[in-house]
Amino acid sequence: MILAIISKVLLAAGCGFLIVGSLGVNRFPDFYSRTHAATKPDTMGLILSMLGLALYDGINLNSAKLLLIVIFVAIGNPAATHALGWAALSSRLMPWFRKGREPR
Amino acid sequence: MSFLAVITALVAVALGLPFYRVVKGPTVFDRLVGVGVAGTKTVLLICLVGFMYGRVDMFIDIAIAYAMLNFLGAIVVAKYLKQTGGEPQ
Amino acid sequence: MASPSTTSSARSGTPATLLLIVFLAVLWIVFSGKLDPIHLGYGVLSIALVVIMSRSLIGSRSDPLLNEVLARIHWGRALVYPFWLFGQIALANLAVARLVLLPSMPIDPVLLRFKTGMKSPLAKVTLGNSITLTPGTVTLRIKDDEFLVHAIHEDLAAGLIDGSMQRKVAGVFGETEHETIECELIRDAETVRREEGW
Repeated sequence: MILAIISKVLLAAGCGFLIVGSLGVNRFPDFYSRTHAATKPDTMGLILSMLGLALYDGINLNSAKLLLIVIFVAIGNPAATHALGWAALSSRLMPWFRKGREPR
Repeated sequence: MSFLAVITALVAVALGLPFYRVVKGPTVFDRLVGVGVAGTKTVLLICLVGFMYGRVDMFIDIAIAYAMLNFLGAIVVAKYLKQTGGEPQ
Repeated sequence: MASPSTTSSARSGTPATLLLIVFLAVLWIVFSGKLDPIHLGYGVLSIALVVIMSRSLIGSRSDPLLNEVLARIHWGRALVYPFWLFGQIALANLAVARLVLLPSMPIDPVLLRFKTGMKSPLAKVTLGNSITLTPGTVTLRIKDDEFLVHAIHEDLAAGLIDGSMQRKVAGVFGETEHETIECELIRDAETVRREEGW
């Protein structure tokens, strides 16, 4: 009973973070700021919702599998973002600065 | 059932939003960020669909494969763009 | 921890290979979920195949680097570290969520450049990933010992500028020379052009 409530709270919170991540990708002004929105709320939202799903039917083998997905995504997401950021930097994409000029 | 359906609908909305960035994004990197964000949400959506249809064990394996493909795809494209110097326009 | 890997060079491949075998076995059992002899037999076969194929990548005698790194890891701290990191991630998310949802969107991006004394690639990877996941910072480039980090707001990168994050990671990996040598803040496009030679 308590487990079910915790699971629903986790799912709802994770869902909120995922929506924030999606909004951030659309709202931020340049590529480098968008990577922030793409990594942090996204990873956090996935961790929370996956934990919620893992507790949804009680703890069993599926919970362990969901936990493995969480660990994989938590390591893989920052690495993928880093690879993209490095690629953008080496193709000379200028970051946006508040007091400076517009991004190209 | 109804709670999961609401969550699934919300995740589907969150999955749709980044595609605005994929279509609009001024550079190819912006589009890739949009694709990556949508991919992360797809992993969760697959698991949720599995829970709704009561076939969790099968859908979780698909989600694992999807998560790995998403990661590998981002790495491969980033490496390609780094080597060719993807033109920011 | 240190004794088995440093005593004889012939057995220097042991700890990394052992770790790989344990990791693969756990992975196999969780993913298959069946414990009858046939499935376990398939598991043993696949693990043997993977270990043989990855000998040149991990734990071979010609490249004892990974084993040295493993031998120096402070395992107690390594167990606590993910939980500390999770707390940091939660804080980072609330900060970023606030930035996204505020209508005025008060972001003020800044590039940070600093050098670290850490030697092992594993420590650098952990630091890079941790930077990306924690308050308002994304690692853009790691070249040798120089990190280039994009921060969405200077206040959110405080833990990086004063070096507390670097010390934490260095503590886990038993690195001694972990001091942040210099941390330079870049705030305008002109400086970026000059420093990067664009």
